[in-house]
Amino acid sequence: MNNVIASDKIKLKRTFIKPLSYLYPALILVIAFLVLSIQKDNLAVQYNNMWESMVVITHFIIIFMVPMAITILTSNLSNIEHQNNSWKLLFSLPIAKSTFYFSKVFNIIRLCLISGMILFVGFIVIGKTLSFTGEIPYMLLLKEALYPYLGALPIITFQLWLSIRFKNQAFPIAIGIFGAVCMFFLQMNKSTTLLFWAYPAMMTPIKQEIENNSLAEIVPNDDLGFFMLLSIVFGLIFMIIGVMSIHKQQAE
Amino acid sequence: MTKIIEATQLTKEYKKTTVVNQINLSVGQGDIYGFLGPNGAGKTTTIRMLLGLIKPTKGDIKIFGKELASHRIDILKGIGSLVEYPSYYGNLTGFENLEAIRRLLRVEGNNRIKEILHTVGLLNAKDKLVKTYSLGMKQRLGIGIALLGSPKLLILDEPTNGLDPAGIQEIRELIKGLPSQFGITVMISSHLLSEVDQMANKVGIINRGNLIFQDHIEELRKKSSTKINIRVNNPRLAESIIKKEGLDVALTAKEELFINECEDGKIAYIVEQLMRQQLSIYRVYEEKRSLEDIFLELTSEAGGVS
Repeated sequence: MNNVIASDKIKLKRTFIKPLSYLYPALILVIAFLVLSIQKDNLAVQYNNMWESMVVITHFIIIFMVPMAITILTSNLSNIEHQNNSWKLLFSLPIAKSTFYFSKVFNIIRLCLISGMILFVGFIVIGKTLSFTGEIPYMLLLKEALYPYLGALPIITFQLWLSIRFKNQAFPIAIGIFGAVCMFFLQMNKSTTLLFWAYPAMMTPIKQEIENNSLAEIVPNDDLGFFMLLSIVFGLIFMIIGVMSIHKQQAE
Repeated sequence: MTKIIEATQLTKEYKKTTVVNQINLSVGQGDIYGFLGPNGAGKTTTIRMLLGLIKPTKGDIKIFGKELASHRIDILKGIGSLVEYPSYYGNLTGFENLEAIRRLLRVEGNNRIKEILHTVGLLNAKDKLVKTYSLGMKQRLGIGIALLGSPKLLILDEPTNGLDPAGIQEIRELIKGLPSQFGITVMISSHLLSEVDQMANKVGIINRGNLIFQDHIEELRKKSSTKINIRVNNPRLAESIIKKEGLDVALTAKEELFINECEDGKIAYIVEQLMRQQLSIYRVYEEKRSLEDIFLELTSEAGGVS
């Protein structure tokens, strides 16, 4: 396993994969910064805690960008092998086929962690720049930076399965983007939140209550544990499907 | 002699089209096995089955005396391969490509990569991106990747594709030396007989999925020995005369006599006999058939390229 990971690491050289996982969190932060700096006075009147408001507002940007980014990352990562039909080289090496799949999963999770850490640091920088009052809620910010990725676990393993299975990346990318767009609608209705595309949206440490069609208090998210469990279960299911699929894959 | 590759009744069908039809391959230790056939004969399909890249519809494959189906990983440890177009990572340099595979195979030491680069003649281009390589250079890199794990068996599918004559010569010299230097067994496929002629000691010829010849190359050479053609005014009479002398004779399509004998004394004797019967002899000429002719004949006999 280590050998495959070490090998995959070299293959990332001069690709768009690493820059992309730095760029999109930066983009999220820029948008969040702009929104917050415009809305700052408005929000300060309504609520006391600006840190919490920031988390709620940024969450909407994150849940849209993260599945998109994951779709493009998994596709690019698989395309490294598709491009020159390297599967036939890899599969003729004395290495279990599933190892190549696990290595890719590991790689994406590592990239997601890096992006998550950028978000975490970015939150603090935004708060300091806009001089939010109160102590920095480190745990809350860390949770907001990482929980959506945990919720995206099924999307990661699902997209990876598709992008390895299909040589033409147009198909997995189309599905991934469709899913990211659908998430907005899925998360609105209680029953459709059970579909795995909605999990990143549901994985927020705090949420804003809505009363009488207007924004109310920000409260902790009680459903967190439930969706965490769901995303791990579905993440594993798609992982098993992906492993079985690569195991059967023939290098034509 | 121990068998390195033993395939029995190997068959591959795609939607009822039989691409490889019940072929039996046998490659011994230290052989350089030339696997020949015209384009689309089933060479690459066979090689992919030998490497476990695709599953045979029927038949058994044994490599190093073990069943491929149940010992795939174990067997692949001893094989280096290059299948059809070389696989490479265009965003990496030649050195980095080998490094990626070196890490995969857990081969120790950076010197090994330098050695390989030197062997395949890419030392000067090691820091150039592979996407800027010429096809010949990519092909060499592919051979380098195949050699990286110090395999016991090297399977090369059309390794000289896209190489210039000098490159072909170099690769040939490289492959020729492998069995004696490192005890490597080589299986090399090609659609050109001349290419393997000078290095293979054993050849298998496949056409339309059928293995139509498999033996030592000397056996093939014997078929290419010289033949004598004689043209006379009455070929049928001449045929019976020569037959009476107890010699092998046949009539060709051009109504010429065709003798599998080329000893000077015998030819003189035959001609003398024919002249005694008042036959007019127009031509007596030697026909030298090259291995290439034999190859074409074998592959067209079986209904190949017309």
